[in-house]
Amino acid sequence: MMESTTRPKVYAVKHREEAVRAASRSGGIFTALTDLVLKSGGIVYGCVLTEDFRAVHIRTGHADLRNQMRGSKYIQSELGDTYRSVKLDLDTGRNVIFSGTSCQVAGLRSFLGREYEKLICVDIVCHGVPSKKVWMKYLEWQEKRTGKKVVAVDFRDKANFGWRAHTETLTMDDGSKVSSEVFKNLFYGHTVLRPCCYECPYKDVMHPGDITIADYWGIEKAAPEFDDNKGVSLVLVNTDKGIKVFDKCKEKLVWKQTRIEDSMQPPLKAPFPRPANRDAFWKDLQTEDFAMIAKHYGGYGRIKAVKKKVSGLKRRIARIIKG
Amino acid sequence: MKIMEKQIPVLYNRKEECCGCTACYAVCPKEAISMVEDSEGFLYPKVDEEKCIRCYKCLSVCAFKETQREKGYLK
Repeated sequence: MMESTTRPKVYAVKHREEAVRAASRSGGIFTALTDLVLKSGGIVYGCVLTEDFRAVHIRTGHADLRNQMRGSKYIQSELGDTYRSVKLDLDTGRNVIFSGTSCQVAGLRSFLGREYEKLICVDIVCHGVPSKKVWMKYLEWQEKRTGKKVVAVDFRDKANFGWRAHTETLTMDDGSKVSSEVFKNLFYGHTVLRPCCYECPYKDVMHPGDITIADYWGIEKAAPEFDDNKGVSLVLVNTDKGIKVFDKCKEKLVWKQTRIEDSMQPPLKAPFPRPANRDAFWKDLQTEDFAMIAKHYGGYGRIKAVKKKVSGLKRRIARIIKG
Repeated sequence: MKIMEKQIPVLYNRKEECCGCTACYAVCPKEAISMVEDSEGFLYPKVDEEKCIRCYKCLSVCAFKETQREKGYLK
């Protein structure tokens, strides 16, 4: 319903503040959009990680909690009573920005049943949502293997490995860091995705959000002058409301209009098919030790040694540079 | 026909048809739908037959299946 039927306007975007970009998954567009709403006394809904590393949607009117919504989470979030809460805020006349996956935005719009002038919906270009059960088992395995407790997680460690890399880093209770690509490999193997993701109708150029945001893969072609491996946002502006909102953000951004043809990452084309080994994976997850899962499906041992060396080296270099 | 003789709403036939967005859970006027975790750790809606008044709002609110149908994914 309600979403636009014309093709989106496409932009490459970087937030002007480097600190914002460093704290964001991509180029910082989410911060610019939500700042606009927070400044008006409005409410932001988005996904954060809990202390026990589940992804949940929360409601906030404050920048510090909004900041926790930045960065990627490679598990499906729990919405709880978010939809009803959004309706309550809108019915009391507040400005609201809701962010989530495309199916979460479409679900919210359908639940609301009518257009609200004060609601802005932002969806992410989503690859598919992994199971939190697998994520939890992965964390347990890392704890058992190292004999330490996980105290913080970064699903995609941009600070140590750069924007393009995809390495998860866990901070342990003794302050040490464990960087690995096991969960990433499980994710890209697609066996851990929710079944509906294999038939996702939002894997398309058209999205239900007013604005759709993502990593700008292909930036080296679309706008090479933006490419510094610190993060560029792909921004698809889908509706008239989206155009207005994006215009208001522009002073905070370095931006350039680009071509959709140069921006076609796979989730804009079609869903990823259900992998042939999906049933085998879930059977193994039930019966086998996670070490076997990590080896067989997560590439553990194949690349771990190399990664560990590289990451250790990088950190040592960083320490030397910082003095 | 008495309400309870009407068919209980079937929210999905295959798991591929449910994205777990909670629209049906949120729209239910009787709070008859709960989100329950399956063996893979994903949440799916479950209808309480006792509480359900068969208004079928949960069926008409489902944007995911409707969009799947438009795209030809629904089998």
